Amino acid sequence: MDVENESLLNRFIARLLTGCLGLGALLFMLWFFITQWGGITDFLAWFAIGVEDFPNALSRVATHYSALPPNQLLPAFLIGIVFGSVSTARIARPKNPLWLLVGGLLGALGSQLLVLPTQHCTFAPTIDSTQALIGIGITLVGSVVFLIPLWTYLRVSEKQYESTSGYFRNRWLPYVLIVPMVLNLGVFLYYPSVQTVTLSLFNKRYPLPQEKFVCLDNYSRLANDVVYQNSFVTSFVLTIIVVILSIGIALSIAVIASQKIKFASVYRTFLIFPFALSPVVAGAIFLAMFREGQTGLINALIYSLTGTTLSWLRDPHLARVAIVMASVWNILGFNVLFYIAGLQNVPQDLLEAAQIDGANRFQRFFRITFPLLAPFSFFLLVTNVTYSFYGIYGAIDTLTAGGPPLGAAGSLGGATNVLIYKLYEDAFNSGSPAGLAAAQAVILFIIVAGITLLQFRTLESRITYSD
Amino acid sequence: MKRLFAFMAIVMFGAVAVTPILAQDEIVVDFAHIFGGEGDVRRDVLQAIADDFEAQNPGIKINLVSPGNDYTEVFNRVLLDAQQGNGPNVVQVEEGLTQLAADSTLFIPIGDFATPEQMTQYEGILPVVRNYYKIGETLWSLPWNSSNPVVYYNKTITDLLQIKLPDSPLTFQQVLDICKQVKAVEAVIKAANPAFQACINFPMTSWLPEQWMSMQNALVANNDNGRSARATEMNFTSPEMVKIIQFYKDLSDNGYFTYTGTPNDYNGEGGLFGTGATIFHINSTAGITLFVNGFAGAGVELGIAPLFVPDEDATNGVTVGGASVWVLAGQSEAETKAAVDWAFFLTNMENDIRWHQGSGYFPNRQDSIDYLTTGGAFVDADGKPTTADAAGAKEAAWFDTYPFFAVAINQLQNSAGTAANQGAVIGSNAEVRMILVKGLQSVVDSGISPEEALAAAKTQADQVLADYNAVVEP
Repeated sequence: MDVENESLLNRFIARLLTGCLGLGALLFMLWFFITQWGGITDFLAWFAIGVEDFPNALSRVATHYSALPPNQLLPAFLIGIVFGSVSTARIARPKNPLWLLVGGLLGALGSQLLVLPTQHCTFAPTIDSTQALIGIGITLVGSVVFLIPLWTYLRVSEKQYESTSGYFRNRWLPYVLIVPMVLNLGVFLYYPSVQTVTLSLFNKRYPLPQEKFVCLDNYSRLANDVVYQNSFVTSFVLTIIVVILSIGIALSIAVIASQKIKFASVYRTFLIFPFALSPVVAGAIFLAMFREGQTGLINALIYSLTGTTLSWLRDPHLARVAIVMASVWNILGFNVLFYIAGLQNVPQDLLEAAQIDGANRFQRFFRITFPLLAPFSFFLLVTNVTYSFYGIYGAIDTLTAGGPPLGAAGSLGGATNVLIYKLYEDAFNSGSPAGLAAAQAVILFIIVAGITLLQFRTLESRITYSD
Repeated sequence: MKRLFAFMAIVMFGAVAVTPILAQDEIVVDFAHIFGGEGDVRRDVLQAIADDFEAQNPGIKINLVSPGNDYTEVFNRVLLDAQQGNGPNVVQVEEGLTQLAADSTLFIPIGDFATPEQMTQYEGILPVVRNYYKIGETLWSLPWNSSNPVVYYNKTITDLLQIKLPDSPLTFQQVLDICKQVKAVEAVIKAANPAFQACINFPMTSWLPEQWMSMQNALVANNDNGRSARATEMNFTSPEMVKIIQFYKDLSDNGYFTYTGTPNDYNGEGGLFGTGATIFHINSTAGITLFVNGFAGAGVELGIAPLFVPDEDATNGVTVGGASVWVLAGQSEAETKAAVDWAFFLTNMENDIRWHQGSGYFPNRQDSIDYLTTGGAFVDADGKPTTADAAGAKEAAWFDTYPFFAVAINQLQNSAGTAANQGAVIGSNAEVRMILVKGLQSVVDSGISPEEALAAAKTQADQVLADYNAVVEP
């Protein structure tokens, strides 16, 4: 066979394969659309209702505004105007009164963003002080959302925007390309978020259809609820312990596992294994270990050594220990994985140079290895904090169900009743207070977002990422 | 390529357009239940009953669906689906969710749609069972799978210790006395079985205190257990309830009691008892077959006794546990009729017996019990249970062949049928029950006095009732 024929044959096979692949994709799409058609029609119908209802929604808003007494309507606008103009005046250079005007206008508009869903209830004369304060807070937040684009514009124009990154030749192409992602986020993230915030203003019992508007009552209730306050403290304490332990232990294990020994890759695989288990499975494993009496593995061991057993799940302190151990064990594999990858990136020549200069093992680790791992440590810090706030639900649910109760009949909460567990308990039991749970979800989101932001602002600036 | 896309589009829309035409003009009744787990024999029994219904009612198809394997999951899913117009036609709802279901406005009261013949069938259900599902004068649903707590005990050990249980239920005091006897020889038992922990264990649940309230003819909630009007107060601080919680305290202070540390851990507690950690155990009759088979396999003799009573005077009897079947609103007239017919078919005498024999849940009807007292089982020449078509099989009384079922049924038949036996209907039952469980835990684990724990539980529970009522009341 000569070369020309061979290349022809290759091209034929390539086209055949492409064709088969295309046909396969086509058949898959067909199958997908036909089987999913019911769901898609539901989605389209839901979308159509939204579009149809839009004029009604507008008229409802108009009625709301016209019916509102001025003493309830004006404060929010006033706050927005003052805040918008004053804050913009501080940023704008040169001081142009025009910016003051624009700032005031945007601030006033923004002030209505979050206040409108609350139906201006926080400015009602009969409202309690906690709710009134939160009301002012959300008015300001709404204003900030509208003012940020203006501030950005003012700052950027000051710096003379210089782009060093790539650009698109077609002006509209980038927007077209992000449409699928925006749709995706809109349907699965933004819309549910808006729904959650709206739900937090209602007294509603899941899964009943009835609901009653209660303004910010759910929030002020949580602020004054001793069970919630204790849950808050428990969450922070557990998070700090879990994060320190999980990162510390993972780093030690990773250092050991990175030594050049036989079958190192096998050991590493086993070390990463716990991460492959869901928190619920991890919880079940730990339940088998911590059970009462001698049916539990750990108690059987303790009994054979000391002749007595511990009530791991019935004692508040021991229950917390059990939860910390299960949570740390579950995330350990993930952390080890990243640290092993990080350690492989530490340049050996640096370590050798240090060794020649007389640095001992510890000095080499703390002066060279650890600082070079900083980007990994930072990433793990952020993910582990998020995990400790959200991800330990599974372990708590299988091990302690938020207990043991503190105080008489749990009037002070539960020893392991962290924020995310309390939220689940309040959200998904039949007949549970869904509005209160939604308020907790909003607060939890603000906390975790706040901590993450804080970490980025305080720690990230000190980290050097290698190129 | 363009032609290909056009072709694809035509095929796609063609398929979509044809789909509804293919659907036939038959009524489909979706029945949502919790027994859909892999290898669950109860699903097979249910399927057999559904097949018979279809054979008798051409044009109606029973579609068994399991959106989850526990009551809460199924209930939540069904209610959310129903609010979007996608709900099933009939659903199995746990007894504790009765008030919530009634408040949801998504169900029809089955009593209002039943034919006179069907209402006659309904009258044949044991009063203590059927009354649970009535709120005021409204009959909301039909009882289906019913259970009760009974006492299981390790007869091999009680025989060794020469503990003889009376035929009548043990009182709290008698239990404490027996446990004292057991405690005295604890070292000997531990030497023989290192897994031994305590005299008794049972789930940390509010179900048992509720039973013991009913036995004392005491209401758990005000307004006739929430039956004459919405409950606004829990009777947690009543002397009857204090007496019950004192029992928990006495058991635990003396080291007679243990539990897994997890609330409502029916399976885990059963496991403790099964491994010999305890000698006495309380659990649902739903697990009766499991215990009987497990103990027979281990060569240990299992005893089954009626639930303890607070004292000799507490003769009012128990309340029913389990679930009933509800028909959803918003269906066409024909669909509603088919759904109601299915619910009554599922719970008629023949299927009541079939369901009892296949699942272990107890029969709900007096005529079923009468039948099972005289027949219903088959034994071989030696009197051992066998199948009907085995050679030499002869008919025998079911309860004589399987005497452990009789314990639960006697206990139910002996219930007085007062408002206390009806059990409390509370909208946010899950929350209120959990508060009581935490009260029990704080007495057992943290040494808090029963009075203090119950007062704290009442404060919390009453607040929950007020919050709930504020949402559902117009």
